[in-house]
Amino acid sequence: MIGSINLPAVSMFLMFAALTLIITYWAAKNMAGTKDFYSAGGKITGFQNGLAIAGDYMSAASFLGISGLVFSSGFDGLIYSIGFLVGWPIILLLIAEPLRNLGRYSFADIASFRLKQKPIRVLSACGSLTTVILYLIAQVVGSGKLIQLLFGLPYEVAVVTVGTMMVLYVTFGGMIATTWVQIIKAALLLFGATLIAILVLAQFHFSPEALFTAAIAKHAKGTAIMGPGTLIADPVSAISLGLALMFGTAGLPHILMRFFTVPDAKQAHRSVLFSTSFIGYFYILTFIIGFGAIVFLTGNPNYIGENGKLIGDNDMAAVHLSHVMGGNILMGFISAVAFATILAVVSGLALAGASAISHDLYANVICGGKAEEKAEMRVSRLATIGLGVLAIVLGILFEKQNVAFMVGLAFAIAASTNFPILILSMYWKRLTTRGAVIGGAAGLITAIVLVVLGPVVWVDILKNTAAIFPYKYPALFSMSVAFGLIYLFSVTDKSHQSKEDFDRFDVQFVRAQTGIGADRDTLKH
Amino acid sequence: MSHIPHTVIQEDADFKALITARRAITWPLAAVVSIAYFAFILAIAFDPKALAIPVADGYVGTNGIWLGIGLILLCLIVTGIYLHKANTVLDELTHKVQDKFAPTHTEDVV
Repeated sequence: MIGSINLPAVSMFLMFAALTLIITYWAAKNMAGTKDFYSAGGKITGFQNGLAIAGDYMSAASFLGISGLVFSSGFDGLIYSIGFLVGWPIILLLIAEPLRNLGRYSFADIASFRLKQKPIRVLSACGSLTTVILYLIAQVVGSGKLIQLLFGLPYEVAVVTVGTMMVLYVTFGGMIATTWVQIIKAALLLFGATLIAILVLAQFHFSPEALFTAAIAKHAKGTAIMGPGTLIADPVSAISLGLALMFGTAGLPHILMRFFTVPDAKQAHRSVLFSTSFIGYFYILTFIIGFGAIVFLTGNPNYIGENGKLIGDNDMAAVHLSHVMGGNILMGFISAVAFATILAVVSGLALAGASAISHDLYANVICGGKAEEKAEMRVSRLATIGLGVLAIVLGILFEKQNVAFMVGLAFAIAASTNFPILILSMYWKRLTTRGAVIGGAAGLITAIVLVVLGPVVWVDILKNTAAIFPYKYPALFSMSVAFGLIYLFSVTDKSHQSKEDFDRFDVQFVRAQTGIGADRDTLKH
Repeated sequence: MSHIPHTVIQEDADFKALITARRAITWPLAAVVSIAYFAFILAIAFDPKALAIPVADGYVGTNGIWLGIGLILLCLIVTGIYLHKANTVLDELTHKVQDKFAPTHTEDVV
């Protein structure tokens, strides 16, 4: 069943691929310029954007990874779900509206609104590209293994397929195609996950207590699955992971970019209402699915290999459970949706990476804001192809590596570089270019160095005996370094530039709060 | 395109009312979410056993699980409260300021 060609899965996936390619063709015909390419012309409604954001967030890693984590350790899976969700109210309350009012295509637009363009754009682009590439590698490697298992394709074929589809969507369809691929996939995933969760709950007369009781009876750890387990070993790790999850979300470039696809600030906050609701609902589903997997997969010889582990590892819990609940058809559907999920998420990442290169580095740093639109479009398409090739090459190189830490590192960097610059440029008048550049760069470097010296890379991957930095999660330290140095180098900044940074704050504040002067679009009401 | 000096808008009573109203809603709500979340994280760090206790005798669902699900719901409630406030108070004030200073949508702040 697993590892051989799965007909329902392949046919349903081909239907999805055909539909999304038709959409890409339609989007390509309607592509007038950079505005359509980066932000879908600002014509996406709050509801559509809410679904698309939720789609970006409901990656294969979070669907399969969190349900797998609940399957293996119960409660600990909930810690991740909650951490991923709590960033959203913060984005809604403090970031969404000013972001829409101040920016056009990338979050660097906001940071450089009053600070000096070139250094801030270079730093933001570094932050964005590092986050995007790490996230991309993790998704591509995960997808190769998943597709290998679900569709029976060789790993390299799977990785090349994902990379090629991603390049097709983004280069031809830009943000319009990327958004619609994401919306369709989000709807399919929510439908599929709801179906599995309902089928599971129906076995227990919709009583969570009955489900928990059955799971405790089956799981090797017994009642231990109902409380905190081994995921978090000490207070420092707990706080550090908590910070990265909560504030990392507010610094993910592919998520922030979606706020420019809606016509105005009002639609931006409507987006968050819908995305938060969908994401919250989705995480409750993954929790039920994880517990359902404990009950129906544990000890079931159809799904447990000879080594006593789940066939294809814990990440396959949701897929196996769909087979228990709905046979080959439901499993085929879930497999196809998982494939679709990977494509949609990597496309959003590629677009965010490409815009950092073409909009921030090429148009604003190299051309000083005077780039020809056609040239900028060409650069963004070339950048997408470059990212596609990079994703394929790195995906194949990292096949045998444990890449799970890369998502954690991406969140830590987002929380230690992108987030501090973004939030302080909006709310702290004393922030200067010097402070932002030094502090932001220090946050980026600290996060990377601490992960390399920590237990995951230094010991598990580089095979050293003891870690130089004892904690798995760097965010507490890297965020402190970033905020500390930003503060220090801003308040002591007496340069001519610092006066300009300071003077422009009030203009920025008025525009952020009222939307006057913002790039507003009209939407059919 | 006409340019409006930012100082003029900053002195405006409706603008000031908008800023006051928005601050009064956003920062307390952000604090509620952050405090609830870090209380949960600190409980995991310092007193994991308390979270592993069933909510009541005869139940298997623990404090940790129901608090966790409660946190997910809290995020949704906070989002709902803010949206309600935005639709009833903040949007109206924003439109007032926009209509006063930027009636044609082409004005810019300088």
